[in-house]
Amino acid sequence: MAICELENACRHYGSGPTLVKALDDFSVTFEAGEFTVLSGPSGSGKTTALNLIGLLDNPTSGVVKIDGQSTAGLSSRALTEIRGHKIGFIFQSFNLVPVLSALENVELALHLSGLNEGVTRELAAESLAEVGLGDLLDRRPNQLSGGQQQRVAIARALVKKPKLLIADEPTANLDSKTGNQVLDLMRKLNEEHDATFLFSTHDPMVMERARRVVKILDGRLVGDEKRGG
Amino acid sequence: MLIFKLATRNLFRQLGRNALSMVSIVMGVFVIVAGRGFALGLDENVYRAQINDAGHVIVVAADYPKFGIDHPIDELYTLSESERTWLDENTDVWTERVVSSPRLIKGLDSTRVRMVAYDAVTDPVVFPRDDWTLEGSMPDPQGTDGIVISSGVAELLEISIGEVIVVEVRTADGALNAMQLNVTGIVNTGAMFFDKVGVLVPRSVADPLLLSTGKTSHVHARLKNRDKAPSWAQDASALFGDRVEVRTWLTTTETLIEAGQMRQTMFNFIGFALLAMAAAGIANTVLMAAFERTREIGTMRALGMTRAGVITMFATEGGWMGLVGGVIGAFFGGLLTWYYNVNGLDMYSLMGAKADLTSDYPVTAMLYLDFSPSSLLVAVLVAVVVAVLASLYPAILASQMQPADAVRAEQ
Repeated sequence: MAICELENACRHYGSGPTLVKALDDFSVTFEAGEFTVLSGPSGSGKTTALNLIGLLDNPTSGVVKIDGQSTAGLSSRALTEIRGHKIGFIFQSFNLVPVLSALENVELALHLSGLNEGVTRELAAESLAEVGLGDLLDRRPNQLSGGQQQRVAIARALVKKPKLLIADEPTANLDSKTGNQVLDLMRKLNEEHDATFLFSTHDPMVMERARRVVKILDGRLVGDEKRGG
Repeated sequence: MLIFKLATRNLFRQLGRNALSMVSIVMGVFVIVAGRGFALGLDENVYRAQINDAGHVIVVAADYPKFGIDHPIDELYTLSESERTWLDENTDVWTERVVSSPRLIKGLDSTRVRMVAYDAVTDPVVFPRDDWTLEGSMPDPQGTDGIVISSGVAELLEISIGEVIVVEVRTADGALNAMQLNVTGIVNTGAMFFDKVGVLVPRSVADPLLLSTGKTSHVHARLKNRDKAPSWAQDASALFGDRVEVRTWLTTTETLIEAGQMRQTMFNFIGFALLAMAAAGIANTVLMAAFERTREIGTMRALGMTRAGVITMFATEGGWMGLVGGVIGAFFGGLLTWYYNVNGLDMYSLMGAKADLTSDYPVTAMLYLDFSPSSLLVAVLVAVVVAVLASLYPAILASQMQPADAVRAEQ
C-alpha cells in the first residue's frame, strides 16, 4: 500500500530569468514499511522533495498524496493535522527544544498531536527506553551527546507511531560509529514497527544500508533501485 | 500545560533581556498603584478636612470671602427664632460662629489671624476635638479673657501659654477695638490652614470685643446623611433668602476634587505611558526571541503545532513578563500605599513651608493614602493585557514563518 505519492510534483522558485526549478516533474511512490534513501549531490533537490513529502512546503504544481489522501488545496491547519498524526521528522541537527528534558521533548510531539498529559508521559518514557535512553529521561539536550540527542529525536518521531518517518541527513552531524548505531536503531525500528523510513543522504555508508535508493539530480528522478534485505 | 511550561522556561533563556523589559512594567504599575492611592487619599483628605473645618453645610453671610483671612465683620446676620427651629429640625447638630480677622500683637510683633468665636456648648458637638492636640487648656467657657492660639501663630510670634497678648479688631459697627487676652492653650487641630493662622475664643470673649452679640457670620451644621447636603442647601437658601449664601462640603471642595481628578488622570497618563514603553520593549524582546528561535518554531510546526499554537506560546511568554512585572510593581506600589494608609503621610513635613497665610487649601496634617487590594489586581491585569497585546505582533510574525525554511534556519 502506498504511504506517499508524488505525482508530477514541481517546486519552482522565482520567475523569468531567475527561475529555479528545485524539483521538476517528480513522480515517485513510497510503499508501507520501506527503508528508502533519497540520494543525490548537494543542491540536487533532496531537501525540497522531503519538504513536499513532509508537507512543510507546497508544490508549485503536481500532487502530493499521504496515505492515499491528496493534500492539494488543504488549509495550513489541515496540513498541520496530517503532519501531527501521520508524519515523523528526524533532523540533521536533531532540533530538540533546549529548555525541555529528553522526556519532555518526546512528550511535546504527543502533546502537539492532541494526546492529553496523563498518557503522554508514559508513552514518551517507553519510546525513550526503546532507543536505549530509559535512564536519561530528565537530561536536557545540552547534557546529551550528539548520538544521544539523535536518539531522542528518533524517539520523538516514533512515539506517535506515524505512517512515515522522514529523516533529513540524520547521520551528517554524527561520527561514523555513532552514525552506524543510529542507522542500526532505525533499521530495527523499521522492522519492528513496520514504519516507513525515508532518508535523504549523500553518504555512501547510509546508502548501503537502504533497501531502496531513489536518486535525484537537478530536481529530477534519475534512478530508483530496490535491493534485497 | 506543556506549552505553558515551555513558555515559562523560555523566559529564563534570556533572563537579563527579559528582566529589562519587565522593569518598565514594574515602574508603570508602581506609578498607577501609588498615584491612584495618593490621588484618592488626597481627595478623601480634602473631604475630611473640609468637613472637620466647616461641617457638611455652611450658612454664611452673603459676600463673605470664601478664602483667605480677610473677614469683613460688618457682614454679620441674625438668625430668627423660626430659622433656629428649622435648623434644629433639619440638621443633626449645628452651631454658629463669628469669624473675623483681627491683628494679634505681642510686644512689637504682630500678625493677622483668623479668629473663630465659638459657642462653647454646641461647637464641640459639631467639631469634635478628639484629634486635636492641645497644650494647656481651652478658655473658661464663661470667661472674658481667654484665648487659644494655633501652633503656627505661637511659633510665629513666639508665644507661650500664660502670656498676655493684645487682639486688635474692627467691630461690627466699624470701630477699632482692642483687648488683652491670656493664652490658655496652644492647639493643633489637624487642619493645616487653621493651624497656621487660627485662634479660638469663646463667644463670651468675642461678643464684647466685636460687638457681635446675637449675630453670626457662619452657621455650621452636620447632617444625618452628608450626601443630602445639596437638597438641604436648596431648602435653606429658600428659607434664609439673599442675605446668606449656603455652601455644602461638595461645593466647597468641587474645584479641589476636580484638581484631584486631574492629578489622578496625570498619574494614570504617566503610568500608561510607561506601560506603552514597556509594551514596545516587550514587543522587541519577543520579536528577538522569535527570530532567535526560528528553527525551534519550524520544528514545532513540523511536529504538529498550529499557527495558533505558536501565537499562544509567544503571547504566553509576553503575558508572563506582564504578570511578573505587574506583580512586582503592584507589590511595591501596594506596600507604599498600605504603609501610608496605616501610618499616614505627614503633610506638614511635605507642605508646611508652602502653606502660606493666603492659601486656604483644606488638608489635614496626616494624609492617608487609599489602599485597595482590588486596584492592585486591576493594575496587574492591565499589565498582563498590555504585555499579551504587545506580544501578538511578533507572535503572529513567528507563526507566519514557513516551516520548511524555519526548520533548517541557522541558530
